[in-house]
Amino acid sequence: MLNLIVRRLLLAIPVMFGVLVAVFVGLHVLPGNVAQAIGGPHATAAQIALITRQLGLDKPIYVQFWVYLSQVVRGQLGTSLRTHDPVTVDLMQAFPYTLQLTLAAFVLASLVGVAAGMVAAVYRNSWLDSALMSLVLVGISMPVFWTGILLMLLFAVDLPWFPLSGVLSPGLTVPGPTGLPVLDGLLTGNWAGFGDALSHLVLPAVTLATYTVAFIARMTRAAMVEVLQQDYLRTARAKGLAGPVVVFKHALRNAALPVVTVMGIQLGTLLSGAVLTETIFAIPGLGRLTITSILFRDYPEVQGIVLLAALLFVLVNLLTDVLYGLLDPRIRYQ
Amino acid sequence: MVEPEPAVEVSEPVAAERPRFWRHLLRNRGAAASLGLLAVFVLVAAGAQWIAPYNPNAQNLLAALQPPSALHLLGTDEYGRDVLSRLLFGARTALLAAVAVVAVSMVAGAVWGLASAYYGGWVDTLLMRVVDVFMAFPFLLLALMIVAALGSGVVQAVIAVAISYMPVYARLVRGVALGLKELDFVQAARSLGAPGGWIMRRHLVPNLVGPIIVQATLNMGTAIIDISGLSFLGMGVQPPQSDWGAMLADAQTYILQAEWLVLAPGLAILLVVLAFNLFGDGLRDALDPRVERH
Repeated sequence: MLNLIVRRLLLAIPVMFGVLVAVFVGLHVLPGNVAQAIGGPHATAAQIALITRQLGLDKPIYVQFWVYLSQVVRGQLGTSLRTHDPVTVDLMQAFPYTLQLTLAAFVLASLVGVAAGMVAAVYRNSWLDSALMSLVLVGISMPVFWTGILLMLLFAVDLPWFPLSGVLSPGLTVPGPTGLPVLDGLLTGNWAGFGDALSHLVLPAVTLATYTVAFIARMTRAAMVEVLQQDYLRTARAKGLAGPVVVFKHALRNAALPVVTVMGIQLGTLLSGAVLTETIFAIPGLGRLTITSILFRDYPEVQGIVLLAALLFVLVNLLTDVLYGLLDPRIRYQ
Repeated sequence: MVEPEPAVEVSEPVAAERPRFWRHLLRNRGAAASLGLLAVFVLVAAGAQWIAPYNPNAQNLLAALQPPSALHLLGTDEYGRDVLSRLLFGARTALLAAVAVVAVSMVAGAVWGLASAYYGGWVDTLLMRVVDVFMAFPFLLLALMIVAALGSGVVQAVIAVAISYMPVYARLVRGVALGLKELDFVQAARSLGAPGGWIMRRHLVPNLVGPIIVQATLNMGTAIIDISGLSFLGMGVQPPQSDWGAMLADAQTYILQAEWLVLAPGLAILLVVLAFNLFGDGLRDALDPRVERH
């Protein structure tokens, strides 16, 4: 198992290096002069020359890359042009909100998606299967920003069950060890804070989860249908095992492999969807930070976000591989 | 010099399968219905200027935010523009942008994947590592980064989304081509001395058409969602051009005063994407003789 983890970690290094190169090239070579952007539209030629020298932009490109690389490796991502805080501070402030939203959506999508897919597979070709699969098709085709606005209209405007936007009600704070308001409320026994944070989380989490629920349901159904036709399942039934034992113990375990892979891939989709969801519900997470930073041409911030997102993505893929190894001994001993 | 034709003519599975393909496709009710819906979508996009009751950009501030009426079937927006007319012209924006995205990413990805599969060795390794790096980014972030570098606008958005789709085609084409490379008829052509380019054109490309068309059809749907998503964020189609994503962004701003603005553009996106997804699934089943409906 350790062998597998080490091997995958080593494989991640060239990918992360490639991402670093891509980000460097993207922000330093492509159109748009960085010094001009920092100086603003009214900067004089002398000011721009000064900024160019300060940032080392007048040095050869390989020197610039080396400086950049050595800074990134030490966790120095520079200072935001907009907030004037270190980029790492801004990222750490925004990250918990995105993590909370993504985790909530992921848990919701996994539970509902796997359950719906299993039900559809077990009762395949019934009206229930058709109904569930039609819903899945709609879920896959719904743009996340429309889902969000519709939910907002229905459950925050027409039926005021949930707050319209934000993470917490104005003036409320939920201090705690994790920075995730819902989790902190729960851990510190701050029930008012927990309830408030949770009610703010429901609509965004459902919005973000919709597509993934549909996708996971579809994959689970396909995997289960395949497994349910195998000979060992017929044997299990023939020897008189109860229906639920056959489905959960024999079928689900074997159908889990493709489903886990899909879940891993879906986490990337969730990160993308978080940008839109956070924009709709005014959540101050990484997604909103991305949009604001791009609109302000805040290059150091954009670079930090991209690196963090790529790192998260690589880690999630690693986790998926490890889980895969846990589920399938053949992969572990390859 | 004329390229040498191999002496043995190898069968072309694609052409022989045509009647079966159409029978399968049109027997699938979902695919047949979605084909009709897509035809309507294309007609509306092409003939928007004749169907639309008003100029989509004509402002009338005295008639701003009016609910649906006989005069304005879907109401008016914050500038008093006719929502129906903007919706119809938005179909054109969506169709053109999606076609551009799919065409660019498909051609670039196919060339990339074919080169990777055909040359193998270090070329393959290098090209596929680049694809891995592209795929290491969450899709929207990659598109946003490209927009950040190129600036906002529909052309930039198309390039951004196309670049982020390209790896999918590169991997797909490489995978299929690697499998095909080992098949008897390609080996036969090669052993008869057929040149590389000829084998690619004559044997690999025809066999790749099926999987690529399926992927392209499904991507038409995702491209419409992604381009309108960028426009929703203010980084795609710029005002005053009609766009479904930008219409939804406006609708959210006026959600408390004008609820009707939320419905039409979202429903339009949903229906068109649904149709592309259904049609793509139908195509996949019709092109794959092994698929049996469970």
